[in-house]
Amino acid sequence: MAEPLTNSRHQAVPSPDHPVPELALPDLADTTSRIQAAIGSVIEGKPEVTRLALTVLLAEGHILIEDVPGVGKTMLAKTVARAVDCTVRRIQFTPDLMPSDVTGVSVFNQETREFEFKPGGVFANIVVGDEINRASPKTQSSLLECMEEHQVTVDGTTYPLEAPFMVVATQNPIEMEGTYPLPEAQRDRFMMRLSMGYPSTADEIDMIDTHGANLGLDPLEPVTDAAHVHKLIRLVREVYVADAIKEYAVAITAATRTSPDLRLGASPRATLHLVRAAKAWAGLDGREYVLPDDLQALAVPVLSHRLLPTAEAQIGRRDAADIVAGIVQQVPQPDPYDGR
Amino acid sequence: MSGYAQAPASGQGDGSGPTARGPLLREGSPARPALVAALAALVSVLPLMHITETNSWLTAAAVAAAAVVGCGHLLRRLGVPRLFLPVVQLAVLTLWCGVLVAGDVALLGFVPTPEWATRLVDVFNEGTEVITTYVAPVPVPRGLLLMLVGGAGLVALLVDLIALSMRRVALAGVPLAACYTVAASVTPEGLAWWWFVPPAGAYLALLISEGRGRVAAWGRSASPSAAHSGIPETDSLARNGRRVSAVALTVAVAVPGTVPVLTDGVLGGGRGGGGGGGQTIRTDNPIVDLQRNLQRPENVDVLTYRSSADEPQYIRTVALDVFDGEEWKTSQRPVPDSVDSGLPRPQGLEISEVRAVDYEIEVTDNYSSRWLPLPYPPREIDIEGDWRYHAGTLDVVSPDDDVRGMSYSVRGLTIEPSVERLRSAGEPGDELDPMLELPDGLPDIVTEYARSVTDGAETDFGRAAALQEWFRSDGGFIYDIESQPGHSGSALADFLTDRRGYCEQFAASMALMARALGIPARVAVGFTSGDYQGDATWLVRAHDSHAWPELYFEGVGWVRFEPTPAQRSGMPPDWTFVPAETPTTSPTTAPSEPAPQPSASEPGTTPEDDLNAGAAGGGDTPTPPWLLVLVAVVLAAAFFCTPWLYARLGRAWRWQQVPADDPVAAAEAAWTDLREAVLDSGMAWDRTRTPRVMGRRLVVDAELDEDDREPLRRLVIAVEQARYAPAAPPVQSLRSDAAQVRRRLLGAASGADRVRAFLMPARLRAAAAATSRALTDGFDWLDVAGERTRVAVSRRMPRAARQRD
Repeated sequence: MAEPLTNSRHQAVPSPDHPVPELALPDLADTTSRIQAAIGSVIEGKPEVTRLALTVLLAEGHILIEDVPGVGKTMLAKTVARAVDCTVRRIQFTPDLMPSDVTGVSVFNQETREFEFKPGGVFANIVVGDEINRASPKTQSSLLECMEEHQVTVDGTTYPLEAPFMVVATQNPIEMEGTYPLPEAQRDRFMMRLSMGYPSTADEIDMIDTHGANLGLDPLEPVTDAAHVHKLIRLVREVYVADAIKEYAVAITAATRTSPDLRLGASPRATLHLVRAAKAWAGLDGREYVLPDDLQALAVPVLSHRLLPTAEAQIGRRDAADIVAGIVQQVPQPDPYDGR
Repeated sequence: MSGYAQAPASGQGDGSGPTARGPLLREGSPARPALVAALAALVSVLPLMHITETNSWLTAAAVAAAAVVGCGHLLRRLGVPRLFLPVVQLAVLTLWCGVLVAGDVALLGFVPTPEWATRLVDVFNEGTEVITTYVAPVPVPRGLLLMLVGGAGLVALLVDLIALSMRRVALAGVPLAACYTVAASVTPEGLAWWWFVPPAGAYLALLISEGRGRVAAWGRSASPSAAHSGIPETDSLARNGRRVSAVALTVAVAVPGTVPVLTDGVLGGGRGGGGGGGQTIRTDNPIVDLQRNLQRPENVDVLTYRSSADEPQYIRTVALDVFDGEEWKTSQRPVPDSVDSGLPRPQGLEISEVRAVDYEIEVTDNYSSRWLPLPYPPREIDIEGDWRYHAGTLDVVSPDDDVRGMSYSVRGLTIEPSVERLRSAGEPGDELDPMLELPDGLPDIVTEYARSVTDGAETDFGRAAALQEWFRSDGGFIYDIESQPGHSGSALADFLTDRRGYCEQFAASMALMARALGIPARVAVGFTSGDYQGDATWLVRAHDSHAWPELYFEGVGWVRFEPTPAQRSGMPPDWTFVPAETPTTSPTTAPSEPAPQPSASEPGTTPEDDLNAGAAGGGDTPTPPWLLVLVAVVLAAAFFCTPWLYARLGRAWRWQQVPADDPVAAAEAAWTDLREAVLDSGMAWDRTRTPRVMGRRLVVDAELDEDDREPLRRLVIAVEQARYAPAAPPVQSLRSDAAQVRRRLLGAASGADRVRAFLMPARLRAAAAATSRALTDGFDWLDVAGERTRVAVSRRMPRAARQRD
């Protein structure tokens, strides 16, 4: 069932009410570094994951987090939402969850004698879909439609979703019995697949000290708000992508389609996601143009969950992430002056 | 066909039994080796184009080669025993030759008749006649056509027999090489280096196609593409073969061409060792060798002559009587008459101011020529061997003997015409019209100078003397043996403008200008009179090689003139002094006594020679050995510095191309500089690395300190912005940054890497790689095209034919 997690405490946010007149990329870098610092105070030792999550937020994508229980998947999503001070809803996917629980339902109001729309769990800036593989495919696809369209249609009426809108779905790779793993076509809709991974020994000890008594998010103060993030998103859209970068991105995805280790290569949507993520990634650095380094850094999280390794590759213990990393090592850089 | 398919089986037996072929047969027909064989045969006779006037025989030769090889191919496919193949091929070749030369007397144009056989024999005899009587370049009458076409066909037959029937492909090189050698040895001036490439390439192609067949014989490849096409999977092997061949061929052609010092000079070439091959002067077309002889480091002895009149004499080898716009050369000369029965009267000689002089001439082993060195005009010659004269020029030539090491005696005439007689010479007869011919497109400057120089002279002789005087002194010409050889129309125009040249150009120009003025003229090539040795004997050496014009005056005949300045040629002939008409101005050319007699105390030299030798920097003195060493060292240094210089200038040129206001081009140029520096310092340049990653790697690998990281960082950022940012800001220091990083990288490199960077810089390697790539791509393209055609043809062939195969 949907469990509202809305952060009701509107606390001191830098320039909360009056809109920021003109934002520049340095502001973006500044804001995001503050968000990162805030998240880092709760989730220790995972700056890369935090940065990737912010990248997806700014690139208007969605995240699939695959990891064992208890490494902080839900915590990450909630922390991001708290730091940005936007609405968060968590949907715990179970086998009996209905599509209407996700999207909302029209209820007949006896007093007004009219149907009235009760929004579902998806109506929030950040939606945490916990253990999405436990729900039936029908329910899963209702969420996936919202992700793609950024809107919900119930009984012929379309309700737009708030911006920014990001779904953070989690999957548990073990205990697969009685689950409905997301098919490849649906995984393709997530911009990135992340894996939290276990913290290092030092970080884990640190965590005991910090969270030993209190697991809540109380110490975390929001550092920005949804409106500000929306502006930042618009800023990221303006990041410049040179033709050489586009060629390079296409070369990488094209290489996955011809790789002998892969049964299924990356889709054109993957190329699109890769470039959009790279723009946000560059924006996080305060850079106004994308570098091939950005694509290289993002290729594994953006591409690997969309690919199907061949049986030979699986027997050889090469998973999709390894194969993508290998491809990145092999695709030559666009070099207009090469050979002269 | 199955020659190749059987290769594995042929190790144990003869492989001709049908059972031996069965399981190893591969589909399709190896028409390719046959095609290559025909091509190789044809290509190896191509150099013979040099000795014929027209190339119309080539088509007939191509048909002959194709017919012979095609016939062999067909018969092998039909399973005819190999023993009979050459017989049938020979018959086919003979029929084709018959079509060419005796088609009119054969039934239906090719069926032999008795008349046909007689005609064929006659034409063959004509061919041998042509070969023995003509000197190159020869026209192609039917006799020679028969020889050429038959020869090409025979080579094709041999190649087919050896390579395809006997499957000894390597041995097939023997007839090919023999054919090439014949062409190279009868071509007068030798073959240009690149003529070696086509026959060698064809031979390599033959070897490759054979190797391919041998590999394919082991069965079909499992690769899907090959299975579909029926093409054996030998591509990578063949590609490697082609690459090795291309490199070998390039080296074979380029190394002798670029290392000229190896023949003599550095390695000595048997100096003083009794005249090895390096000392021999070979003269088939003397004017070509003229400058070569003059510039020879060693002034080898050519001949000695003893004069009964005890006076020096120019020794002439050949008269060049045709100017075709490019060069003076000999006209077409049938030389049927032997010198044994005496020579005819010199053309045009009617005066009586002549005396007979006897000469004993001994030619050394250093001099090789088919032209006989003689004083002009010779009357009687006593010599062994088959020597024949040409009536017009009195040149004596042998179809097969060589003058090397021969002794012979000559009775010649010394003509001493008076100036009056020459002045009063009448109009030359019609028979001399060919000696007045000038090619179209002769630069106007030649005629203009001829007119202006001789303005004021009233007779032909006066004009000739004025011309000679202009060349010798008035015109301010400088004798310079280092000047560019050649005397084509444009080269002569340059000569007349620059006024710098050597005897070839002096003689050629004066002869041309004389013709332009209506005086019959030709160029004689030979030797000046040489050095006096005492006892009425003169020694002529290589540096005495010379060319001079001969002009014709009615009643006197051909008269020698000497336009080359005195420092080279000494005195002009007595009869060309004309004080009354054109007074001489140069003191060295105004003697009042006859041709100088050598004095006993200073054998072989005249005062003028001494004087001029000093002025000319010792043109005839042998080059001191230390100078040779010095030149060799300088040449070697230049050779080894060239790659470095190439890379250096390449970088400068690259920056030259960068517009001042183009930060993108500047950044890319700096980045290319950096790439070359990285490669030069022995590190890898990985194209999958981004500029940023590359920069980080360099910092680590080359252990750059803080000072050097800054320029590297600027380079990285500049190239990033140039390539990926919407607009790149200009950075001024990029060039010096790149240079600084280059210095640091090379400083951190190992000694071996630095040496390699000097001798084989990355830029040069890239250029070499690009060239090689283009070459092999070309080969690959040919290969693929050939295979496609073959597959297409074999698909269209009826199944029955394939199965029979």
